[in-house]
Amino acid sequence: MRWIKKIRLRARSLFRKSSVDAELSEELRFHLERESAKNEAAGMPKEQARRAALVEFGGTEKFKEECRDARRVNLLQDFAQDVRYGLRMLRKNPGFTTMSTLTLALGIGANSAIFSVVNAALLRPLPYLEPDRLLAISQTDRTTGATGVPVSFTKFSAISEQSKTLESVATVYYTSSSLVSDREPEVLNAARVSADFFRVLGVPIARGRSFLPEEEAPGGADVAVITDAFWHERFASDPQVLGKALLLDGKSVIVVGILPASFRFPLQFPEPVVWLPRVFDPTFLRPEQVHSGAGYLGMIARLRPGETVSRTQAELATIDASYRELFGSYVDATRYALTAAGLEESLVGPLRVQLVVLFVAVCFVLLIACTNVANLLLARATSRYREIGIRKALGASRARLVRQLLSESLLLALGGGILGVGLAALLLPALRTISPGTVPRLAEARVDMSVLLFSLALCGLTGVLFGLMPSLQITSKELLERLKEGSRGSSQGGGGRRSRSVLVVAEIGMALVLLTSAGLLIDSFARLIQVNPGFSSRNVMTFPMTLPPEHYRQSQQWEAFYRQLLEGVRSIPQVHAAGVTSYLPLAAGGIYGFFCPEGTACRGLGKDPVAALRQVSPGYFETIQVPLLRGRFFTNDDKTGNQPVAIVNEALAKRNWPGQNPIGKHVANSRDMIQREIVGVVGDTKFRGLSVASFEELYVPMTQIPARAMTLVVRSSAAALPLVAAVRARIAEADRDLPVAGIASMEEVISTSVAQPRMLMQFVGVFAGFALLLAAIGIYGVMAYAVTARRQEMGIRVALGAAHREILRLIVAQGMRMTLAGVVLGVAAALALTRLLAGLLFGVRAADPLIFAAAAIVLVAAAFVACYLPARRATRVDPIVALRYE
Amino acid sequence: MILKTIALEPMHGWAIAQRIRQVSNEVLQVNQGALYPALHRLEQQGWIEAEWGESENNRRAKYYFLTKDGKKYLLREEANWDRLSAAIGLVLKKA
Repeated sequence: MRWIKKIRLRARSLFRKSSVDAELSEELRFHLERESAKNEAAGMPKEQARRAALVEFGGTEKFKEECRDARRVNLLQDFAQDVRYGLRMLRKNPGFTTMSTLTLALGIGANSAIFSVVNAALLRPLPYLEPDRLLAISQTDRTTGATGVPVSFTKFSAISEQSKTLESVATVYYTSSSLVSDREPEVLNAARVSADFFRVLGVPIARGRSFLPEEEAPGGADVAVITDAFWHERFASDPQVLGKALLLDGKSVIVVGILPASFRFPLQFPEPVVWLPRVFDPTFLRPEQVHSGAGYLGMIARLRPGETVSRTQAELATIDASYRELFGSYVDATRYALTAAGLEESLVGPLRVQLVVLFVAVCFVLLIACTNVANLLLARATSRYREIGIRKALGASRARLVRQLLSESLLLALGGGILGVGLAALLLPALRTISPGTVPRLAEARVDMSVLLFSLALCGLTGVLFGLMPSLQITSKELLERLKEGSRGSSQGGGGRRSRSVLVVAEIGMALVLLTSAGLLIDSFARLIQVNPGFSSRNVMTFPMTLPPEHYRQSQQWEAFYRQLLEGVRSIPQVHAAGVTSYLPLAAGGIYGFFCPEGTACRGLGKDPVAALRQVSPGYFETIQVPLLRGRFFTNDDKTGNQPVAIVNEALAKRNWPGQNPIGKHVANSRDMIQREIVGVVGDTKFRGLSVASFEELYVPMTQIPARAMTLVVRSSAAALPLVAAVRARIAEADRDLPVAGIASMEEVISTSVAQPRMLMQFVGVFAGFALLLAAIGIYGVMAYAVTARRQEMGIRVALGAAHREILRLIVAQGMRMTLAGVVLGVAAALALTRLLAGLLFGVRAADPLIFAAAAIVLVAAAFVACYLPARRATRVDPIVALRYE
Repeated sequence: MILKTIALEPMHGWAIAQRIRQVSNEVLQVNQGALYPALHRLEQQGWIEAEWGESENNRRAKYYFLTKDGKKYLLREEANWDRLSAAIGLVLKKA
């Protein structure tokens, strides 16, 4: 009951403020009347009695205020009052308000945008049932330490039979399917999965059903589950779509299920839109390869409740051991070890550092923005001494004043925050289009509730951060003492100036950290793209294509198709050279095989050395200009029936026949043991990435080992686009149902391969730019203010004959002292923080002295300009005016 | 002390101030005004309540009286105080 009464009391004090106040006044008046009546009764004259009563009572207004405090309504009321007052103050100073709101909007906006990305990638759980029980299983190469090696179908079967810690397992591999319809033929991103894939993820099928066990068996029906987006786009959300057929890869495939709209599959980019059963007959492997341990599958698993990753890991080791005993001859028996990791971790693990770097960088930008606003507030504070002094004299406590000033800064922060969230909402779509696929789940990044809450918290934090120091400063006793002395004085606000200098030093330090990081990333990126890929990308266009198995059953047909296509393309006038390859350098994908070089004892699959295998046509090397070091390129004579031949790269030649001429030696694939004569040695090409060391490469003629999926490369003299149309026409001539998607110039292929480091570089670069700008504005503000405050002094100096140069030097030296202090601080901080970047850098050390020096020079130069401008103004001070000014 | 003072009968502020001065033999010299914030605080605590009533000289005055909670609190505090002063007394005597 008591609290009801209390609430009533408070509510009354709050909402019926005037009547409560009137009562309070009346109560006190009554007291004074009685007291003076008593005094009068004691014989005092009326006036004296009244005065005595007042003296006895003490300050009426002060006690009234204390009574209000006692009723605890002041906090709320004051807040409302502060907000109103704050708004008025901010409106009265539009320049200050705009400047600080924009600064904060920039800081908070960038922060919110990056937070939405981090939130989507790192914080928000994967959109599956109990995602923390989901694992990704892959393999680690015992000899090279390479991780993320795909699992074989045979090993997957072993795991699904033997594991006791896993409730269920599923596999997937990503592929593409050509869709023939009434529109242009197109390529769809597709995935083949084991039957209970969606059950393992815990994703319900929105309409229809998932795959049946019999569809999982060899020769099962051709069915597909499609995504909600594909259903909308392709079938206009037709509810009757279930049971309809898609013409996929020349086969009629029945749609049996539609995934829910909320379904996301961030493990693959772009996400598959068509999901098909049966993982055991990939088009790129022969059945005997699939059934003897060729790894090509991604594997996910669901832990049994209560089990842990480490127990699964231990179990996988025993499964590996028994697999080795049972299937010792399989490709993956000895070389690879199974590895389990949380699905989430396996997805974002490699990117965590990048995201942390981005987040730290953006936090620095925000801190610098806060510092700037704090500086502006401090500068403005000086002009408010009088106001604050009067308030204090009228009985406002220091806490009350700080509260009032803080509500002003919170208002500013809130304004900045609202603009900032708007900015973030604008930035995100831009971010998605600039760098798709660089961050997992980027498509899911949006300004949602948690981002809003984060931004709100950020507003509160920044408001206090930049508001607290100035408000403590202004309300400090020392300054109010000075108020009493009067506002005259040559250097106002010594304390304020000191704290402003401290802020500027901190700001410069932070800006230097960002500049150094950006410098390191830019340098690293520049080195990366200058890496010689081992081929020339100039004027080369690439056209990936896959022949649908239904129309092209025989491998002779594949070979015939590509030979005919190449003839057609070479007949285009601008075309200088053309060729096809099974795997394009620096594009995703690739296949590796065991091989047995002449002169060594062949130890068989899984034990022999590994090389990247590539089928190429004559003309391929000439097209992308891979240099021929020895021997010859392939010719049209290297065909089935003739001597099997191979071309090796320099790395393979050096490793296996050091100091010898490999031409004429033989090499055999460990599986078929067909001896191939080496006819040429070509230069190494960068294949898996510009920063990845070249690997051993084994090229065989397309005619001797045909492949269905090839990429056509064309070098031309003309502009790329008209050429594309001409080549497309040739492809349509060869097969009008063949879709070609992902046409790109070789430059674009390279550019895509460095999309991630480029994104990081761009972002940190932009943040560093903000930081530099804000820091320069910060210094400028402080210096401009100092010049104004020291106008009188400058006037005296000029009057006493100081040369302009001396005045300039005086002011600039003051600014430079702060800058240098900031630079020292920044270098120390950068040395500590750029270590975070070490793993992301290529060809440059995290503590590269040149970069550090360059960043410092840029910063000092900017600071110099920011000091020079106000300093020049100081030299123009007319002594007469300056002295009269006060 | 305020609680003790109004425990006997409802009083208005001025009367409380007079009583305290009397009782303490003019030893406690504080501004009378300081009484009011204290009263309002006690009211917020729920230990006293206030009502407007007619004063001795026929003016509206705010009378304060003790609530149940206030009485309980007073008893508890008195007991505490007694114990404490007894203890101090003992110590002083022994010394």
